[in-house]
Amino acid sequence: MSKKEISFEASMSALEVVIGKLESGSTSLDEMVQLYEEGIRLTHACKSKLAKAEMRITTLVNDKNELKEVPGI
Amino acid sequence: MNNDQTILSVSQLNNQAKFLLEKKFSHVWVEGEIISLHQYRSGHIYFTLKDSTGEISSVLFSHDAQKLPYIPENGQKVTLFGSVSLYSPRGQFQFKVKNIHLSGRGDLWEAYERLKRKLESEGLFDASQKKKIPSYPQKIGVVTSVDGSVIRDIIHVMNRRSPHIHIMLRASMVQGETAVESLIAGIEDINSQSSKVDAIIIGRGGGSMEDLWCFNDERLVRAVANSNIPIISAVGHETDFTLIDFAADMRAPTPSAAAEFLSPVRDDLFQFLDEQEERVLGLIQSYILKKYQFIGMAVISYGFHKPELFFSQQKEKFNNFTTALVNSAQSSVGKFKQKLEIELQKLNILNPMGVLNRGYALVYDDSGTAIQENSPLNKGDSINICFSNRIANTTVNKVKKK
Repeated sequence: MSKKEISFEASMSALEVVIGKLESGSTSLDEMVQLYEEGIRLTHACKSKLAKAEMRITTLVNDKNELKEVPGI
Repeated sequence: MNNDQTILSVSQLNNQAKFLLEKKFSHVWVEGEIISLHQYRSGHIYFTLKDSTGEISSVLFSHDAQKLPYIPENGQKVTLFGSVSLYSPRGQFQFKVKNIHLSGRGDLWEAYERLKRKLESEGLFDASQKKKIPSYPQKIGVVTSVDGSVIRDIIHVMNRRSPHIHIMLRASMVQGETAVESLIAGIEDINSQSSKVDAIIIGRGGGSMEDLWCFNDERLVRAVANSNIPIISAVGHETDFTLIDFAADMRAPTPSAAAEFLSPVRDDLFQFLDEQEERVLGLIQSYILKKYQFIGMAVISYGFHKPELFFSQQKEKFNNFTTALVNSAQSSVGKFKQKLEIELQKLNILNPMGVLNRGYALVYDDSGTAIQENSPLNKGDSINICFSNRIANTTVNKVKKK
């Protein structure tokens, strides 16, 4: 799974891990900076996902065992 | 006409018949089907109980009706408990109802308990089997009737709290003979379609125990337990329990409650993320400040007054840099890292401690100014040679060009 496809849920838990590591502060400067980068990237990714998403309602239709997702209900 | 035979008035006859009937049939169970039910404003309920060949007028007085957990309906097969009487003003033979049991209900409950025990012993309801409901779902599947209130309630809650969540309806029957097959197909279809669904709500509005009975079907309960996607059951009212409630990963008292559980308020999420971002920034900042203080203290501890001038410029740069860091949350992080590395490299190179530790010495005059290649230097000048661990004071004997 590429970084772009990572789910909101996964991003949130990745962020939790990053913050845990930053808090321990026991790694090298290099890694701390990498963690910082990652942390900021994750918060931004989550926010843009939230901001972009608009209410979507679809219906899953089973048409002779072929599943189709159609807009609306 | 026999003279011994007293002539009775109508009322007398009715009353005597009433007396005999009440004496003979005071505690009777009678089984039949309710028809022609009518409830009067007084609260008294009148109906006819019938079987294939006969019928009897029945009355349920309001004070007895109030004690029943449900209101009887036309078409129900029931067992009545009560007494036979006669309504004298009309000479009408009737059954005075004290209590009503829905026929077959006893059998149903027995079957329910039996199935529950069986599935329980198989481990279908074990807490260890429960899947975690995601805290931040992006897409939820809903298996319910397309025209019931359930889907409208869920959309309403989601729209208010989490407009970013995608709702996918899989329409299903929720009552009647086809409901079980339809609900199972709904669960399986959502599991087998390609997009990622974080949770499924199986919902139905309130109804009679009989209406909700399909949610106690063994095949449906197994389908709920087998779902790869976590399922929240939200069937009937808060007081209704069906077997899928036990097999589901969570039971919600109502469909709205299920939707609320799955929908963190979006504004809260934004605020949370802002806080996390500041936290990340604060952590890296305090880490760098700690490193910086460490270097600064190392410098002071060697008593280099003038060599510290070497630092002051770097220190200032570094200070500016950490300030910039605070403001740079939104800006390019890669640039920041590069800058930081350059600054730290410079600090390392310029740190005279490093040089002295490698065996070199630093020379400065009595005023503390470092003597460099072009500084004035003459015979007889007093100079200080500073090693990493000691200082020698000496006088210049001779100066010659190299």
